[in-house]
Amino acid sequence: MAFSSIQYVLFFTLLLTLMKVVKSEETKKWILLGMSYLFYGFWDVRFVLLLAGMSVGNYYFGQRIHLAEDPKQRKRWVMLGVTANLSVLGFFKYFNFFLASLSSLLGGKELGHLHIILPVAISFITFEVISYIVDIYRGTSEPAKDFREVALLVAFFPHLIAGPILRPKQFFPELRHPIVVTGENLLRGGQFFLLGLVKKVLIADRLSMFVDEVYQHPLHYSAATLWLAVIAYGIQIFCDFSGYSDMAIGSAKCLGLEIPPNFTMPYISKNITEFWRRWHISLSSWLRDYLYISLGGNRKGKVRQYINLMLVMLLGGLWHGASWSFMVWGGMHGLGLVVHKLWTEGVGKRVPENALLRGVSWLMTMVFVCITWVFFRITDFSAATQVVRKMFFMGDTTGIGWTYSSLLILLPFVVAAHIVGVKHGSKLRLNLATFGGLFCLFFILLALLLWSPSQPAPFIYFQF
Amino acid sequence: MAKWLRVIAAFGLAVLCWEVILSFVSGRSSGYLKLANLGVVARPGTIIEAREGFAVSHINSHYTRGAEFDIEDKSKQRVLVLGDSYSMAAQVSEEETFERVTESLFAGHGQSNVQVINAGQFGKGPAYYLSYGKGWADWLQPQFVVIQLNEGDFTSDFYDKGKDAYVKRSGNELSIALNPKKQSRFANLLPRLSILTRAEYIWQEHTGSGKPASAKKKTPPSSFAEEARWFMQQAKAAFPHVAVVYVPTMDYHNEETLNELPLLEVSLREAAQAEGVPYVDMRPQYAQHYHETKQPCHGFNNTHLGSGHINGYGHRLLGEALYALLNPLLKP
Repeated sequence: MAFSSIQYVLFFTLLLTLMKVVKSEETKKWILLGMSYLFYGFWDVRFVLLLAGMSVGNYYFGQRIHLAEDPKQRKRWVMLGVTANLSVLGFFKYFNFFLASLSSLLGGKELGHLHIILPVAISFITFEVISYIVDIYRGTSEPAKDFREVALLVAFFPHLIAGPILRPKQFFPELRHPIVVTGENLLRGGQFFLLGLVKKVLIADRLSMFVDEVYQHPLHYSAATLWLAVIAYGIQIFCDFSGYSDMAIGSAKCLGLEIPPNFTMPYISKNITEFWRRWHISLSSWLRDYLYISLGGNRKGKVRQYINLMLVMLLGGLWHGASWSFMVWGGMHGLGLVVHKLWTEGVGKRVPENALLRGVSWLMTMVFVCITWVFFRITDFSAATQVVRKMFFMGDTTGIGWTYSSLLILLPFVVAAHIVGVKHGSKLRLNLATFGGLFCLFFILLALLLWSPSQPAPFIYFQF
Repeated sequence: MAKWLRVIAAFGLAVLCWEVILSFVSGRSSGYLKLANLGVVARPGTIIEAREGFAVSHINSHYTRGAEFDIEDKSKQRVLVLGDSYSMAAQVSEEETFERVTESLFAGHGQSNVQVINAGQFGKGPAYYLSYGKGWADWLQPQFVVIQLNEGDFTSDFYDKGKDAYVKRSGNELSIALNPKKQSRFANLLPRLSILTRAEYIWQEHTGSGKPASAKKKTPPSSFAEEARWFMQQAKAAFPHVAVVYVPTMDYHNEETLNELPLLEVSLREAAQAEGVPYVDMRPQYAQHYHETKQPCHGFNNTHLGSGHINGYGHRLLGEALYALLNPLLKP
């Protein structure tokens, strides 16, 4: 059940009605949990049990960590919890990948292959439950008041499939507020949802028509077309993913719950460190807090810091998918972060900042990010390498020259979506009491109705 | 009251804005007419095609694309092109259409009296060309008739009862049947609004109602030999001087197989040879063009390059091929 589907509209309307009709806060929260499981069950009903099982298990681990007085015992419980969670993720997501990698290490020896169905959103869920038990262990968060809180942290439907990754410290206080469906909440949430829908349906889905076609046979296209496709994919993935996040935030806001933003204008970043502060914020901050810091962060010297950065990004890449090209994507970003650190701590200190330098920095960052998207989009590593070689005019650069005109038409809308996405909460908001606000609302609704592609593309991050 | 008026006014203005925007970015239709001798044809006026390529077409008072002409002018040697949207070519400008390319090639070789009439109409099929085509020929009195065919004519349109003319089979006999369905009174009015044209298009895309009945069944015939032979026989009987041009569908991503003739094209070539109908299949020219330039002859920058209607390259090559076909057949 995608947010941009008619089923979701019906589902959400039913939920809002129930929330409006039911008076008891306790009942409302049970309904919310039940509806979240129903939402997840739409993909594969079998994995609702996995979802519930992970919630029960981690609620138990959380209680044991909290109640254990001996620090060693606390450590044992947290280690056990993290290992159990990573084992679930490892089995479903990486088992066959490691088997295949081991097979090639052993010179192609046949090691078999299991038919494992990947439960949707397993990577997001695993990170959330790990943060729950680690936070209790570190003492940065209290354990949940009851099982339902942990179950909702995992299963709360707006963020369930593709994040943002929620932290208990932020989400539990939200859950302890009453769920109130008011006109103001609906207005605020509805506008966020609408913004996300515009990004997804009008921009990302339209660009996918070009991107998917080119990436199906990338080497048949000219170097210039490949560059356009790479830029288009960069825009597509931003609008697709941030659109999903906006719709998640909007849905939660309608219920009076706050979910933190996941993107703040990532494509204005002037270096790769800034990019990761603006892109998929909930993942990058999770990696920082639970992996980078656990590895020692910058506390063990420069060399160790650089190694930690590389490791974090390599694992971040692997988190996205069981393939070497995701590792390469993560590794490239890790390398980018290390190079940027070296620059800022060395030559960068002596170079005065000016508009030209800022412009060059931005351009270099964008080119770098776009090239890394090639490895993210094409899971076959050697094919991705060939595409990059062609983009840089190494070898035959001829091929079909396709200047996808919608890309140029959509560019101003992408810039607007970038800005509106950030300013929306504070300044830019439709005032439906005025003629202008109503006109904008109808104009956008008609745009969605008249201009959406007939075959919507699935959300890119659903595969993770 | 004032609140509701504000809502209605805001909605009305939004609709108006989209009507203007859509007429340029989606397209505009001049509407349709159902005529006794020509079937359903585009109404005279302006058509804007923006979904695929971008071009403005003018439908003249003879329901054909292009400038007005004098039907009584006996100095002209007329070639009537019957076809569907590939011939109408709303995706490209008037000068780029294969009809104008052929005409200008004749003019360039001292035969400026050759007039190629673009009678292409959206969504037509073989039965239309053989039935209402005679109506066109009786009215415009051409010296030569060219029928343009493509894959859909035989894989989906041939027996499609939704068309204004279709082929009916009784036993081993094939015959043409006309669709008695009358045109809706509103059909002439509604398509003129771009917002409604767009809404209709979206509805068809979502429900699949725009696709021909046979296409929905997805059962392509195992042989086209009988249909192809019958079509060539009927074309020869209907028009004293007739040629057939075939616009193939190409899979440019399989470059090695671009020159391989599919079953339908083999059947059409053999049928044309057997019946002595001049025939051109554009596959070799399009394949060669792709080998040399890496540019497909189908598709546009705003759709999928490589699929869909033929683009400027496709029309130029088709125009040249048609000139080469007609040149020895038309007297100077």
